[in-house]
Formats: sequence, structure tokens, C-alpha cells
Amino acid sequence: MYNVSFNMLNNHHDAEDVLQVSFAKAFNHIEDFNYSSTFGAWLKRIVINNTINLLKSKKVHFTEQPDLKAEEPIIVQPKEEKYPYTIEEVKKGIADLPNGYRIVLTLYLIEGYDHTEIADILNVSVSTSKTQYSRARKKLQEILKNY
Amino acid sequence: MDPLEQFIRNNKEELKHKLDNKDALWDAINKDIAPRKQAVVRKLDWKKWAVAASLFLAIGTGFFWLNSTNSGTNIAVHQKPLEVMEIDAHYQKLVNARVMQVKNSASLSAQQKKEIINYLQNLENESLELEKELESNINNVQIIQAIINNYRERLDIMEKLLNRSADQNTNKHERNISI
Repeated sequence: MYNVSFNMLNNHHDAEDVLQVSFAKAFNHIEDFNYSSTFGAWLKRIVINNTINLLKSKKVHFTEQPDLKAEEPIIVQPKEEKYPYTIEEVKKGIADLPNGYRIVLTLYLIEGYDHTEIADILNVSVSTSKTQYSRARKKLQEILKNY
Repeated sequence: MDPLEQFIRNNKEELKHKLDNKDALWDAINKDIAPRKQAVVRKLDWKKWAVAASLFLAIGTGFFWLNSTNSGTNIAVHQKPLEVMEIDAHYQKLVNARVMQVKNSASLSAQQKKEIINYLQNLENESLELEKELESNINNVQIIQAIINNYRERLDIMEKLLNRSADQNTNKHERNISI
């Protein structure tokens, strides 16, 4: 819960605040839980929604942004026995991504949502989610190259 | 899947940011959770219920007893079958006549009269018990027959006693004449 909020907000204090508000909201409205999903999924969705609300209040939007470089083919790293970057470097690289990229990338790769779910969560189209993810991955590779 | 994707997927748990101070956050969440109104569960006060049940039982029993007594009386007074009333009247008349004969008999000693009257009284009590039984089972032929037998037994005893007494007087008279 904390991770998803942190990855979206990129701020410990904000993530903790969102978590606190979300948990309190969930427990105070526990009767709204309709068992259509697991309780964990329902709670996670509340955390994500509250995180998005906070992002919106900070004027962060998830509309498709023009990015000429995004059309360039993704450079596929040659297969190596060992990945050239450490976990901490990748972690830092993700944190350095722009908000929109970081959110889509973490929701997709770390939280395990598919693009349909991400589109629904962020209220964008599926193609926007896919494009944002593709650009986020490319951007992360660029960031990592600089390490 | 490119190596970056693969790496992130393979190490997503390590890539997750961990909350440093879970306890503090839980404390804060606990403060924000409104205390839920607990359903009012009234504890059963068994002492009060026991007293209430006892009172109810006592009142109910009393009411039932009074009701049954009253209805019993009604049966005795108003609902005794005509047949039984006729039997009573008939035999009671005979019994009373015999009792008067016993009481006035010159040949019976006072002690003998007392004994026979006591015995007859016992039989009469039994007859009254039978009549009470009859009140709860108004058409029981066996009980009516028992009441009749009771009257007959009383009459029979008195008749035998009076006959024996009469025989003794006759013998005594004859003996006096022969002497």
C-alpha cells in the first residue's frame, strides 16, 4: 500500500498521509465493501484513488504528453549474465522518472496491474497507458545509462 | 521482455519502498478511525427474570387454582348430572332413615352406635371423594357405580346390624318367656 502511494507521489510524507487517510476512510466505511474483490484490492484501490486526488491537487495530470523521442525504437540491451545495474540504482532511476512515467511504470511492473486497469485507475485510455509505459521504460534506461 | 523489465519484475519486492515507522502510522490511523457505535446488547439480568418468572408462575398457578375451584364448585352445584343427583337423593334418603334407626335402636349400646356411625362417616367421606372425582370426569360410569356401591354398603351394614340386634332381642324375649 505504502509503496504504490510512494511510487506515485515520490514523497514519503505524502505517501504516509495518504495511507493514513485511506485506511481510516476504509475502516470508517467498511460497510461499502461489497466483496466484489478482495479486501486488500479494495483497500489498495482506495489508496490509489486518494493518491491520485492528491496528485490532482498538485496539478499533476495523466493526459498523453507529446514526446518526440517516444517514437524512437527502444534500445534493447544485449543479454548479459548479470544485469549491469543494482537494485538501488534502478530504485533511484524509477524515483527520478517524471511523475506520469513513474506512476504508469510502477503500476504496471511492480504493482502488477495491466494496461486496462491502469487506464481505469488513471482515467485515461488504454493506448495512453501503453504509450506512457513505453516512454517511461525508455526514459528509465536513459537515466540508468548516466549512472 | 527486455532485460530492464525482467530485472524489475524479478526484483519488485526489493524495489518496493518500505514504511519506516509502521507503529506510528497505525497509531495515527487508529486515532482517525471513528469509534463504531456498538450494538446495544442488553445483558440478561437473570435475577430479575427469575423473580418475574416466579411471580408469573405463582399468579398463574393461583389463577388456575381459583378457576378450577370455582369451576369445580359450579360443576358440583350446577353441573352434577341429573342421574347422579337422583341417585344421591334416593340413597341419601334411605341412608338417613337407617341412621335414625340405628341411633334410636334400644338394643345397641352407645359404644356400638358410636362405632357404626364412625364407620358410616368414613364411607360417606369416601363417597364424597368419589363425587369430586366425578366432577373432573363427569360421565365416568365406573365412578357413579362406585358411589352407588358405597351407598349400598352403608345400607347393607346398617340393615345387618339392625337385623342382628332384632334377632338378639327376640331370643332374649323368648328366653324370658321360657323362664
